[in-house]
Amino acid sequence: MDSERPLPALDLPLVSTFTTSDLLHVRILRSPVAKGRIKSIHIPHLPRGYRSIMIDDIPGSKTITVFGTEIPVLARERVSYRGEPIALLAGPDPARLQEAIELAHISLEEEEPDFTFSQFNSDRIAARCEYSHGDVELAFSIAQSMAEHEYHSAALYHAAQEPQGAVVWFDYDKLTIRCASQWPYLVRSQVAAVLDVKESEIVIEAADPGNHLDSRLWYPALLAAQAALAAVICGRPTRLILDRREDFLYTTLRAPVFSSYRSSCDKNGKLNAIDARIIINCGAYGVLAEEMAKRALAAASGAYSADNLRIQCYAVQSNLVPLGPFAGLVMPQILFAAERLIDDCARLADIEPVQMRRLNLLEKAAELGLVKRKKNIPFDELVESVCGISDFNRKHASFELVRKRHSDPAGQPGRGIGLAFGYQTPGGFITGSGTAASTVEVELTKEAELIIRSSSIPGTAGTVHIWKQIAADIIGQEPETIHFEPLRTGSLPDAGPSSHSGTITIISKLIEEACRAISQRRFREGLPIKVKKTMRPKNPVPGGPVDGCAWGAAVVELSINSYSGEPEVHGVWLSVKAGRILSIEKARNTLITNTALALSQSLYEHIPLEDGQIPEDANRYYHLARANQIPPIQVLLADSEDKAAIAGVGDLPFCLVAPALANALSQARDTPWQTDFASGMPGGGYW
Amino acid sequence: MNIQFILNGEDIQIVAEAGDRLSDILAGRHYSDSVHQHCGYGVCGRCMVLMDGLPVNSCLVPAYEVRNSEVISWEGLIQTPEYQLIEIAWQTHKLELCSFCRPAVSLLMASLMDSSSRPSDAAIEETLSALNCRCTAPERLFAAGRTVVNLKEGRNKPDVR
Repeated sequence: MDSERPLPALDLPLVSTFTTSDLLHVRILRSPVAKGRIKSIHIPHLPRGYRSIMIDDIPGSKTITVFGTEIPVLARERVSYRGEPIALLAGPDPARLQEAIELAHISLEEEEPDFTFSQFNSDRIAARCEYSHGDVELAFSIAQSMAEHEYHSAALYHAAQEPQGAVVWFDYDKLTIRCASQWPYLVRSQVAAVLDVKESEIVIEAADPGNHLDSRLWYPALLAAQAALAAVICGRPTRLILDRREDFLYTTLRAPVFSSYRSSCDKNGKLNAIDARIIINCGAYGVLAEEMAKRALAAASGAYSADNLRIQCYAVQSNLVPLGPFAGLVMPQILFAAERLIDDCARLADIEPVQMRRLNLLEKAAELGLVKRKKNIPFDELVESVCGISDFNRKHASFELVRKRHSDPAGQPGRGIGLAFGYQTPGGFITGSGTAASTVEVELTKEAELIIRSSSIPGTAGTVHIWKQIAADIIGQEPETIHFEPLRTGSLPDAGPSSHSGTITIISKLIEEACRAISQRRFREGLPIKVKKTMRPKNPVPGGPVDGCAWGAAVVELSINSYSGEPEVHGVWLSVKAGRILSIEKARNTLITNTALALSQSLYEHIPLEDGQIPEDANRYYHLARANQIPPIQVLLADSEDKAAIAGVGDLPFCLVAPALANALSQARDTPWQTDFASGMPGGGYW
Repeated sequence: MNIQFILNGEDIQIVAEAGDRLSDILAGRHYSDSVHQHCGYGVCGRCMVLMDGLPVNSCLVPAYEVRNSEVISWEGLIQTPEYQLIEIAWQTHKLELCSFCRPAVSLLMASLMDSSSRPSDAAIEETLSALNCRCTAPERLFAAGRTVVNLKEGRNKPDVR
């Protein structure tokens, strides 16, 4: 699959570089409070050529609908989070618009907001699901001891290269919108609904999303609807691009998760019972609540099980910005808790972490919640290889000796090494409706050129290269004769939402199937031959460790700087088995790149809170790791299995690095580390 | 105030406000599509240009400081023979950069080539860490930087036609 050709560039336009002479800028007047009732809105007198737009100016739907959840385009009576859009101001000079925003006054009847989520009322539950087998309470009542554990995952900012935005212009009888969305057809349908026009009158032109980490899943639809509304009302092209501060404070963040577990195990380390209660903070409106709750349910005990198991998952609303989409969609937070749990149980039972995991591994053909497995989990293969290259067993034993014998109880052993084992599920959404089906059309033209039509956003040039190579190998043509139709809605079939790492599994399979069909018909039928392939989401698609997952094990070694007290990571090792690998080069690069991002998130990217909210200037203190702050990363990739399914690997580092690092920190600090960020001590301002 | 400077070999004369920064001029007045005003306080590195041969975050450069300077943006850099060497280094290490990071990384690599003495590995890593690039593995980025320096010095010189 790999070739020596240089990678092509991902040639998508940027939102921010669009310009035209009569362009109007759009700014958003936002709610200053997190919860309340709007009494009045006073906008200063605007000069000629400027315009304010309120909810009553919307000709069609006042909301956009995302995964079944309605989100107001502009707030009418109530506001549900600080920064919620209330009005739009459009005009030629952005400085004057900013001045008008600052002079505007919104009178509100403020109500007590709900930011915390470890305790909540039933009216805040957006989704709930449960699973149990055995009798947990009976198991605890006869167990020699029972341990309680709590784990916290913080909100994270995507830090995509370009802040979110949309530009809108008129192209004859069509309204064209350029935005960096992961789902252009969602943008089109929602803009059409808001403007009350036919979908065919709207064209979405995809822009370069950068390394978006799923931040562009649905939010661009809201901004596109607002920009399009201003364009139609003013009759001129518009540009609505958030600045970095707005992007940080008011667009979606990763959903924080609070997990509490009760567990008991026998003297050999076999878990008798696990009782898990997982609470996901969805922020305002509860977008993707059901999806996240179902994923959490299937993943709550990680790759392990117990004879008696009870899992309760809640996705709750709060008065924070809408939270949720992030690489791995809640799986990293859940697997963090599961891997910390197994390590804490190992320590309590005084058993080696590898042995503890092996003892409690989910068995072949075991059923757990939504999960049905037929194949064995490649635990020994991956853990032995990652322990071998990192010298985990020897280091862990010696650091453990230091931990147990260190003389000063108030001191710290100072060195630690942590292991984590986990998986990435195949692409797709559990709760997707018919609109989330993925379709790809491939045409072999009379000129023997292969045209691939898909609205899927590839993310990187390397993905495009892989797709071309798949088609080239099957059809038997050079990749240069294979083209992708420009990413614009209308002529392209809907490929559904393109997720950070899952898309490659679905779209690659569809391209493969379509090309095989063309290959079979090629010399029997005249050209052109056109084949369309669609994959509808199964209902329910398992969200746990099913067959077809990519599996991985990670080790992180660190020491505590004796001067600053901060952890210093000395090395990260990953071992990954991902079924059929389309490009070993690309998979390895993706794993190393995302391991660097995951380390950055764990070590530096902690969002501090003030009274439960993100401080207004938090983006200035949100530190991303520089390239020279990243320690050596070594990746072992198991051989590709030609007959296996294609599995994405991009989310694996986000699932593995944080728990491995927290396990190492627990050893180095000689205290169970409860959060998936390394800065500060537990209890200091997590969600 | 009137400001005169050279941008990509062309004389530019503009009237700027006292609070204007170089990024306001280059991006705000559409002199350059590769200069992005994202963070506004010198963290993201996506407004990078070469000012008198040195890489600078143009959002941190007051407009008056540009007077009589020579500024090179990515649009100017790609016209130079050095850029071909940078592209070769990218292709050698299969560097996948997005449209936002590509210009800044190119300019940082160009500044490495302009160094009067051969930059050490630490200097290469320090220079290329000026950008918050989340597109590629750091080791690949550094390897490409070392290749650029080698190519400039004529070591492992590829056949550039």
